[in-house]
Amino acid sequence: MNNGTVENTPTFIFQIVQEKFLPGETVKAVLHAYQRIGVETSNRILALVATQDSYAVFSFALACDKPRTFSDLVVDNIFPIDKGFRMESEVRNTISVLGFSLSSSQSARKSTFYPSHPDDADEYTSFKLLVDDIFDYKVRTADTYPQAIVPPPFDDDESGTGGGTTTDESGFFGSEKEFSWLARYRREDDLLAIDRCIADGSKPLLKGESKFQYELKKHEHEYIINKTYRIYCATWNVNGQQCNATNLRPWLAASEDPPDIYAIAFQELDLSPKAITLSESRPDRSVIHNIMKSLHEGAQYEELCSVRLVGMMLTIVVKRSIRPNITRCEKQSVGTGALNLMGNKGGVGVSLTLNEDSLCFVNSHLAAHVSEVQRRNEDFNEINRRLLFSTQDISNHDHIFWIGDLNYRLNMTSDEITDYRVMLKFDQLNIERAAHRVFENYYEGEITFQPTYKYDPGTDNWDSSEKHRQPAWCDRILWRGDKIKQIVYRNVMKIQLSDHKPVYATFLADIKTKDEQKYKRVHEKILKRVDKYENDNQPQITVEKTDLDFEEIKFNEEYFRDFTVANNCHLPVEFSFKEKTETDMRICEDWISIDPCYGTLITGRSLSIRVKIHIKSETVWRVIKKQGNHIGKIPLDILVLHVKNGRDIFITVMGEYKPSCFGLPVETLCCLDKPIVDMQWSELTEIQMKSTTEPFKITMPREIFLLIDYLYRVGMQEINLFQLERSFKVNDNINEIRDWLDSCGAAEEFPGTPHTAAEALLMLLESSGNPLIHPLDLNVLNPDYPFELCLRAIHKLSTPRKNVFLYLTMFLHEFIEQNRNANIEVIAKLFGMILIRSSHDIHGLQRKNFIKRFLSRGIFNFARNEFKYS
Amino acid sequence: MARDYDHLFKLLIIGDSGVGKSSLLIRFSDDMFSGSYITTIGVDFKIRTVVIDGQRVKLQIWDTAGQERFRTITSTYYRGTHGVIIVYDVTNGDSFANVRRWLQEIEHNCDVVNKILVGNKNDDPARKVVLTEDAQRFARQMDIELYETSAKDNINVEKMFLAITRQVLKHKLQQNAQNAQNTNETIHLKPGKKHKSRCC
Repeated sequence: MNNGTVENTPTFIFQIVQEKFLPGETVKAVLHAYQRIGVETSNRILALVATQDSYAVFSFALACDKPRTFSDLVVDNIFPIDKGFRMESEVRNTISVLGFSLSSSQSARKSTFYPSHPDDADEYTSFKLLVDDIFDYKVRTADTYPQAIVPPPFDDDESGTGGGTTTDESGFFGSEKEFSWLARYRREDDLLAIDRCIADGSKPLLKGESKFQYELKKHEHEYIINKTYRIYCATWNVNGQQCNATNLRPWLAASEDPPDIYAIAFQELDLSPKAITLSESRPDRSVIHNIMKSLHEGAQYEELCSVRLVGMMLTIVVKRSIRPNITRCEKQSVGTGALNLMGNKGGVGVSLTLNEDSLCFVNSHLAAHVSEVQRRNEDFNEINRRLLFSTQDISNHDHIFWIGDLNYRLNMTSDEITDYRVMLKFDQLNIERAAHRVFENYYEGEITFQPTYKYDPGTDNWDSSEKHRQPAWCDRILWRGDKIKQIVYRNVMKIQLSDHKPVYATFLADIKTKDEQKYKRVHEKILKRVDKYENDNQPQITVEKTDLDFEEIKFNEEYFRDFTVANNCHLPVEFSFKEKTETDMRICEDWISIDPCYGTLITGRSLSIRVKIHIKSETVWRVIKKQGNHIGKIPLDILVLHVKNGRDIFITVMGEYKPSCFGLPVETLCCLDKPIVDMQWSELTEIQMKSTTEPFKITMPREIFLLIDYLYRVGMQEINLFQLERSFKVNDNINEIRDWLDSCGAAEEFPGTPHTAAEALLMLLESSGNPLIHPLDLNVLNPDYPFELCLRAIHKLSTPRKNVFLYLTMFLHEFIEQNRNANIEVIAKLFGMILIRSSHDIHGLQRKNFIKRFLSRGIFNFARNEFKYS
Repeated sequence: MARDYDHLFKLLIIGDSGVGKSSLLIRFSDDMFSGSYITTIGVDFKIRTVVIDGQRVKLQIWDTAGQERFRTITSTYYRGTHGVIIVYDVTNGDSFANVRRWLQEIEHNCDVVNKILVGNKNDDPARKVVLTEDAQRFARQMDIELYETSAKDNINVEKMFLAITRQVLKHKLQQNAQNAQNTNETIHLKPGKKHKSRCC
């Protein structure tokens, strides 16, 4: 059977979803959906799950496109079907894809989903119907379900952090206990679980920051409580009249308790064509001044912001004590007049964040005239579409108050005016709303006041002009949001300036607020978890050993040790050997090499690293310095194995460098009284110290004498004996010569050839820390410097140095004389490089010429004199 | 988007081998203790975020190898350190005697740094050899705060880490205030300059 077809069948998905749950927890329906996360989409499977006495909608994230087993489903969110549960279709005329939102008392935010197969309406519709049925059933059977939020006793303390009060959330249907089975799926340690996408590197590890915000959001329900705020909405079409002298108190100070937030809307502040064409947007300060004088006297207020478009103005005033709780405030306006552009009609809005909730206030003035119902509906949609705040449109707010002159009229003639309750049946807004053509998902309180339009100004008399306008409830206040309760909804007959009567409504709104105590606890808990996540997700590497024991190490021989590094953690690991210090950019000593010195290991892999030691003539003196007077093995070097974003591991290179004549100063070699092979470093260092004060035992190192002597005896006719190309450097024979020299094996046959002897001589001369001609008077390198003075400079060298130099130059002079193939230029250059090494920048030519001066002439007499002295 | 911390500090734990540096760190970061001794061969770090006076302080705490042979290498980790925790073992006199050397190490390798002295393994009076009074006297003389802790019994560990963090935070805030003052002084000079530029 073809697996692919099976996996895609609804039954198969149903089956694997069911496998996520325990017996007794039954999956009733499944819905394929996706969520928009920024610009990306993420697939979800929604599942309605039932137990004996409770229901919940689970949202699963998918580990892969086509889940094969239940382990490919990860619980992303849970919406218990409780009092606060909502599954609402998002109706937007601009977005073709039908979306819906899920929310619940225990999920802090509304989540928006889109069906994956919008064409297959059945899956969505049946899922929605089932969920709605269950919710309705739960509401019906819940005896303690409150009708609305009960206004709590008011907090009079003005000095407090805010004017709101806490609502008691307990006591709704679906007790905590009923939903206790959900706890199993809200895994506390889920962030510690190894995410296989992270392990294979296809998904980056969440950085501390985003992880923290994510976790904090996820746990919102643990520290968010509701605080009730009093909101006062007011609207008045002033018909172009100056209202800055009118007493507004009957309209704005009509509530018993001082409101926390005022949203005061005006229309037709200015009817002049000039204001329309210029799209007047400057708030009318004189009106605002009058507003501020007319507020409730029970509290101190300040203007938060005002937004104006031609005749429309919306002023938000807040209690001074809650001002710090408003962390964001934005305003926006949209004209829907002529050309859908002019500001004589349209809307102005303010969006703000109060504690943890967003609020939106809209003041709109929609198209006029009885027949323009359709146009008014369009204006409403247009305002919804175009009134955009920085991160959200109107519908995204937690609480929305829509107020203004909506201009909906009555579908009847004025003669029929009898009873307002009868008239309301003909109200166009009520009719349009009932037909779901406008203000979908909005609420309006019951209208118990007479129509607000149209009066003869200065009176309470209906329009007596020729037009004889029919009365209507043009001025309205609606809201959207579940946690809002209207207290009053009235008009103000006393204010007679305009042909409209002002309207106001007061509300209690539950605003999500951080409980500081709980927040602190949750905050600390999350910090700990995020820290743990970061610590646990530190890349780790294991090394087989941290000590690499090279045991005995001899000059010019190659050694290596291998060790294994392995990645046993769930993250890919990048490692490299680190520079030791900022000034020393090397990762190890010059005589050590590491291969590879960096790399990447994915989970479960290991790698062998080879560390090589090869002590050559250039570096041997450093090793000797390191060995010092230690007997036996010492840490020769410490390698720092660095794991990117992780720890450093120190690898110690252990070993004992065996004494050899190579690398020792000629002075020391002249003080030895037994073969080096029999000596300890402690003795050698002691001799080295004494060599500056005590007389030398011999006039020049035996090792140099033996090599030159051998060459003199058998190598004088050798071709290419001294070459710039040092092809005998890595020759086993060299090491035999080394051992022969170190054991002072004069008794034995010389183990090498003239060529290896010549190379050994060069290595011996270049391996000491200081060059033979040391200290060096730079003047002697000047070709015009008198030769006599050059000889003086040689005379000044320490006896062993001087003797070696003279003996060597005499030999080389002789060699050049006797050997027809010898090239004085090559020999002078070669020895120039070795005998004159200096930190000064000396040109190779100068060094060559200096040596050449000695080689080209016999210095026999000078040498004889010097030898006589020493 | 807001950062998840207000301050980020690097702390370093130093002291002789075997005094319990890693144990203190693991107790603080993971609230765990393991009796088995695994010597640290390298430099390890853990993070923990603490809240001090409402400010989130993220600590990156570096635990160093205490062995003598790593001394030179570990000294390179002192750079950029805001606070150093010098640990000795109250049951080991030598480790206390070596504190002086560790202090010198700090002096050589860091500029201004906040320090705290910690006598760990303070859970068995019978084995205690470094007396509190002696350690206190020394600490006062060196002008360092002293804490006697036990990573094993979780005594004073949290307190000690918070104390050094407070010290570092205070130091930083003072420095910020000083910098702000300096900037103000610079502003005083500005009007003269402005006047000049107006002539051109």
